[in-house]
Amino acid sequence: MAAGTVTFKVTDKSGNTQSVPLPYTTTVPATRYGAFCGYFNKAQNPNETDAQRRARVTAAFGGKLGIERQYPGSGTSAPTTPVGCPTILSWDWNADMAGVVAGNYDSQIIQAAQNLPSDRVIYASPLQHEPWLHINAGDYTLAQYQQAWQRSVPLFRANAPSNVKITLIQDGYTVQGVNSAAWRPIYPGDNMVDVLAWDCYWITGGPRVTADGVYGNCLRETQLKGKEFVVAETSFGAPGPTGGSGWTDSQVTTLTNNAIAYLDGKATFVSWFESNKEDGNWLIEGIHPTAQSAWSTACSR
Amino acid sequence: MANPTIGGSLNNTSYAVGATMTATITYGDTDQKSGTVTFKITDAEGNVSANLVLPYLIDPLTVSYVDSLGKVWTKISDSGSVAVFTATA
Repeated sequence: MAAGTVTFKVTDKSGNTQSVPLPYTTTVPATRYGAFCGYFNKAQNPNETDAQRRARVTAAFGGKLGIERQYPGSGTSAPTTPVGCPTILSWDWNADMAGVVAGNYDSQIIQAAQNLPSDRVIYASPLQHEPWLHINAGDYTLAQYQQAWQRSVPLFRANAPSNVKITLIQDGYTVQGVNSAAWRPIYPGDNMVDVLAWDCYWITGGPRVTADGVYGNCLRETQLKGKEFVVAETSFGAPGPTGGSGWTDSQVTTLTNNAIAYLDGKATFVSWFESNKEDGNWLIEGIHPTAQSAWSTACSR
Repeated sequence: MANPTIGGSLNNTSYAVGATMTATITYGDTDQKSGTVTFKITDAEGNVSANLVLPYLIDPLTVSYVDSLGKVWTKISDSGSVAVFTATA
């Protein structure tokens, strides 16, 4: 809970003033935990259907997910998460920001927004998440992403139901450690984003070995902007393509417990990145059983 | 010169993060008066121009704010005596 006061002041032409203080408090609803249920072609069990993947991961986390992360890519269909299940979505439109700016994806953006259900909270990024990863790789420029955001958000807002929150999903590593301000140039303005979400990974060595090192600057930057705080992805980092991360069950259990203890009452939703794909294996299901149990307990709330 | 007056309220005292906060501010000043001055030109033959009407406001007021948590409040409406602001909790 945070306590604040907004003081309004009226001033006349002579400089006489009167003010009125209005105190208030802000509270975060009980933090809800869930997971990404995997979808990549090169993931384990690639022949599973979407429903089978969801059933497997949901069962692995105790039978209930408080939130589910999905990546529609360039698809415009409604999310396949269960009725009422809060959902985090981000579209990438082929990482073609110049095309978005040119209006080449307008009809798809509108269709995707119109197909969203109104029965659940939806955190929607109309553009690719983790933009800095792609900007730094030269996939597109900061200016192109900014322009694409300015074009896509009004289209999205005008066509989405009112339960949809426009969500900028940032790479947590851009603020973790010393340079908490590094992400700020991409901020599109208070009226162009409802929620700030972050993808946050624990890394052995360096600043990302504690909960505050992993989430702290993300939280503080979000609070500075006065926005809702969501963790769209979290897991241990850099596991390598064969899953040879070196993380033990004990270490991952400590990680998950520390994450939950830190994020409770601060984030509204937290999603575990439960996936194995071509560049790494982030699964805890069946690999880190004690950590899996800890996350299941959090999901069951 | 009289001091201005101000009063206000929030639509709630406690908000869930992300909710919309609404502040309604009422304000005024007994010195404040609005009027108009009307000019016209009359020539030697008695021809009269159209009126030039100039409104004025004596002792105009401005409303500002300071938020201890740094929240940004946006003015939604202002009638001159009642202003409505919103912010995101």
